[in-house]
Amino acid sequence: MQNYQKYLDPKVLNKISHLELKARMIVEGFIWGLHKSPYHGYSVEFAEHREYSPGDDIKHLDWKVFGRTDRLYLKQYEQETNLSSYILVDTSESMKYKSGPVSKFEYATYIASSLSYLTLQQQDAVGMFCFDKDVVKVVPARTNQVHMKAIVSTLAEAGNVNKTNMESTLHSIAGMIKKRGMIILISDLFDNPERILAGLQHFRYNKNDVIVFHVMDEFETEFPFKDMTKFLGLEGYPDILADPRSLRKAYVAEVEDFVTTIRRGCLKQQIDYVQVTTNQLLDVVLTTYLAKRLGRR
Amino acid sequence: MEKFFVNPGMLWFTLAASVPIIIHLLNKQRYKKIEWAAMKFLLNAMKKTRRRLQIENILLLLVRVLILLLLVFAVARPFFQSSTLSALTTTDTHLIVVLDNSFSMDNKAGIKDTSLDAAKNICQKLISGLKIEQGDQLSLILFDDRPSSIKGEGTIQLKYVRDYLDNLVVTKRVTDVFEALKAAKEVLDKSSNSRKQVYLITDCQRNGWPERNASGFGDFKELITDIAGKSIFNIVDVGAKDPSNLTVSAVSMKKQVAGINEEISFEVQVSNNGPSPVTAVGVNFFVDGLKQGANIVPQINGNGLNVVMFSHTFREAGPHFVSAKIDASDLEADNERFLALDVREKVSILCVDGDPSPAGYISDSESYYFTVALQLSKDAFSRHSVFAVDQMTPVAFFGTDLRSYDVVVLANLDTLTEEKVASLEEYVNSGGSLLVFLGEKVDRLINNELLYKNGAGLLPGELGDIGGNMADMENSIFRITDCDINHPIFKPFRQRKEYLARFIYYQFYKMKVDEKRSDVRVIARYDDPDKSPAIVEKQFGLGKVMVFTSTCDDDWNILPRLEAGEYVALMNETMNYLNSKPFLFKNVNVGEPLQTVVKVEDYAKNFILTAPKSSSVSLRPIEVKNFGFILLHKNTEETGIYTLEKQAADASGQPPQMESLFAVNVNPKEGILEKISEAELKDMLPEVKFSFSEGLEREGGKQLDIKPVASSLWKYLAYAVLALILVESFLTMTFTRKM
Repeated sequence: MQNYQKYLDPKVLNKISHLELKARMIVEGFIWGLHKSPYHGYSVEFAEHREYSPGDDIKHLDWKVFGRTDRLYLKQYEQETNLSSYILVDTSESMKYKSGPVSKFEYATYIASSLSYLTLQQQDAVGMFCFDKDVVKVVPARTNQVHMKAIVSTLAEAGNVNKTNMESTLHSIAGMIKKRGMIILISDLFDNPERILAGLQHFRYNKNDVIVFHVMDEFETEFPFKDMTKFLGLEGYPDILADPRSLRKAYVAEVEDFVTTIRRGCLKQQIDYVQVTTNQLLDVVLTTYLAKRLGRR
Repeated sequence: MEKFFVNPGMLWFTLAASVPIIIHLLNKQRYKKIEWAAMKFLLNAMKKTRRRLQIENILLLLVRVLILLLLVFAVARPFFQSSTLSALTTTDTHLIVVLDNSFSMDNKAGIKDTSLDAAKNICQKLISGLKIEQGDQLSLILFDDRPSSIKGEGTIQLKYVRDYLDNLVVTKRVTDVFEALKAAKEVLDKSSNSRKQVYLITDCQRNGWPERNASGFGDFKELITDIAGKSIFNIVDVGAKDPSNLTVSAVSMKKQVAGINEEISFEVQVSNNGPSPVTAVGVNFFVDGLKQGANIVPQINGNGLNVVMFSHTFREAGPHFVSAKIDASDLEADNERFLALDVREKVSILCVDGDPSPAGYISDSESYYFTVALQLSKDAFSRHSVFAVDQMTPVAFFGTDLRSYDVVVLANLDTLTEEKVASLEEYVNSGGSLLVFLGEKVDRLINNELLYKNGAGLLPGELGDIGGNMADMENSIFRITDCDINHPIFKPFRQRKEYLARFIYYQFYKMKVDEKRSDVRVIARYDDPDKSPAIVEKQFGLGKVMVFTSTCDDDWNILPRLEAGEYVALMNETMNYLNSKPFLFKNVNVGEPLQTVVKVEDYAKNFILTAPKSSSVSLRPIEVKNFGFILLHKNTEETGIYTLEKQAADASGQPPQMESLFAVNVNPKEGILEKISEAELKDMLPEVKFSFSEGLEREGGKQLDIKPVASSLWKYLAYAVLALILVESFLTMTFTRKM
């Protein structure tokens, strides 16, 4: 079990082909590293007593109450299905970029699957939206453990072909989610920041908790290229031939500018913004999620 | 391309300038392809930096291309000849040729061409490299010991100079590089051309250069440093290698005064101006242009000299000349040497005897020994004496015209009048000679007042007391101990000083001489405690005054009675000395003026001076204040004998009368051809930058290689390249730091 922790490293995860297994490895590895098990208290909290009516499972009878009062009462536990988590995964073309072994999209699937696994482990419902310029796939929120399979297969099937159009997509997703819950957006956010923020605002308007995992490749933030390079534009951008050394400073400034805009916008809307790069260990992702999750209870 | 570049071949390397461009293009071709997601940022970044990047790139590319181009140009050494470009570049050249045409340049050294021929060839080649119409200028400075510029600076018709050079011959003068360079410096200072080239073409005679320890050497060094700093300074040695030359360095007469019918000895001095000894040098001797003898100098050591003697007896009085000529030597000008002299029929001496003898006792008179001594000649072979002595009493003296005498002797004279003193002064002032003997009759006061005049008169000193005492002869013996043995009157005693010791004086006048005066000279002194003067002379105007402070006869001394003829010798030499009219302006070197005194009665006459090659000039006497009349002729460029004739006063058709002869000779110094070497020059002038070439254009020597004169543009190009390399590094550094 000790070795599970290594699965927090995306490079290691990359060698495992089965996504569900990956998710399990991540979560197990993560949980194993915590001092206190998060399982205790989750979804087993006592809520109230209810009079027995025929057909009820006698497993939940409170024998102590029966002994005192001769009445049959059932122990009623709190329902965890109150919280639904929706994971929004960007499947646009830009997500397929990778400088190392793991592409942004792959990294996004790790996040998505491990969070799904974790959520389901906690008896919560989890749903998923895959989108590019439109909503591509929808997996409704369920608490069923078998539901994991649906999520994993959906992610595996998703291809990266289209452009992003975040605002409209986010609006339409927001319209689809009837019950408020937790919205987890995993994307490289390569779109107009104002429009992204406008889209996110819709979720906040619906009183949802929002976490944004901003996935970028290390190369996209650092721009460490040296030789003359022809950059082939994804998502309909033109190709550019340039000497990257001369552009690096301006590029990095651009990126920082962009990130700052997004971060500020998120802060303003009380949205948790987490910037991750594809070479980062996944525990950051899970810690953030859990912190948010605990804060909600 | 040869017209624009010294090394046109190097221009192929301009292709290298395309290397940075090619590298740039290749870089554009060779690139990696990457699919890129964050294109938006890249595009924005591009948009913001593209302009700056492009400028930076182009700037760097330009700088690199320029570095290569300039480097190639610098190595190719460009020079622009078109007038428009030459204004922009530094190619308009001022060529200053400083050409030695002293007579040593005539040296052939055994081959056909002389040094001057080689120099002319070099000049012509240098001139042919000029482009006058494109701003080049030429100054030709010919020099011997006085530089002369041909047609000033610039604006020269080359053809004129070329023709001039073709017909150029050597002068008879010596070399003086210092003077020549002064002239070159003047031209250089006036020149407005941006490039200046000085060619000093000479046979590099050592004598032509200032000596290192000479007083003016500092100035010379400063001058040449200045020239070399302002121009490209070339020294071209056209002299023969290891030159040798024989020079007749002197022809002199052994006597001071030449009289007719006496045998006169002439000494001819031949110098060997080469390192190796020479044997059997034939010397021919000419009198008045006719060969009178020949002799052979058996051997002359390397850099040594030898003499050969000739003698001649003149039968006619008047101006004569002799010359000596050696047979073979490559340099002709100094193979012959002339001497002009006047042969006197007699030398008239007026002897005023202040103590004449009573009749019948001739030998008692004051002037007896003196007259006899001059009738005898010390030379046993000549039976004729040139001296004719007129003895005279003081009374007769007062009525005599002195001008017909060459020497006036005052022996123990007691009386003098102011009038007579005045005529004596005039006589001496215009060139006559006065000899004074003192004695018992001499009145000290009269003499001091009339003759000494506190230093302004004829006497060289003031008469004091009488020294010695005839009455006590045994305790009053004085000898001459301190004398100027090199004075001409002591000539016979130079080898035999013991004869001088026999001169014994008993009594004499003490004369007080102001020895600070330059015109007064004590020739001999007694050994009395005061060291009183025995013989004193004074220069008075053109003439001489000599005083013997003892007696002329044997009253106060024993001189006339000495057995070996000491008195005869002394008196003869004294007369010779007093008669020797200065040869100074009669025998001169080339370039020095000829000068002679004209008798007062001839001041209005016309004189004709005929140079050796028979070109004549007419001369008029010039008055010189407090002196009289002289004839002066400055143009003495030809060697040989110049004849001066006096024209008859009227147009009576009488032939002109020969007055005098002058001899003009080359300076024997110029015959010393020993050369100064490049190493010596470099050692002598360590800070001076010059190029030195030798043996050019001589038979078997190198040809002058006239490269088109490259401008110093390449230097600036090289500086530019260095600067650009720095700029390039700086730009690269700043640009990449930004990245």
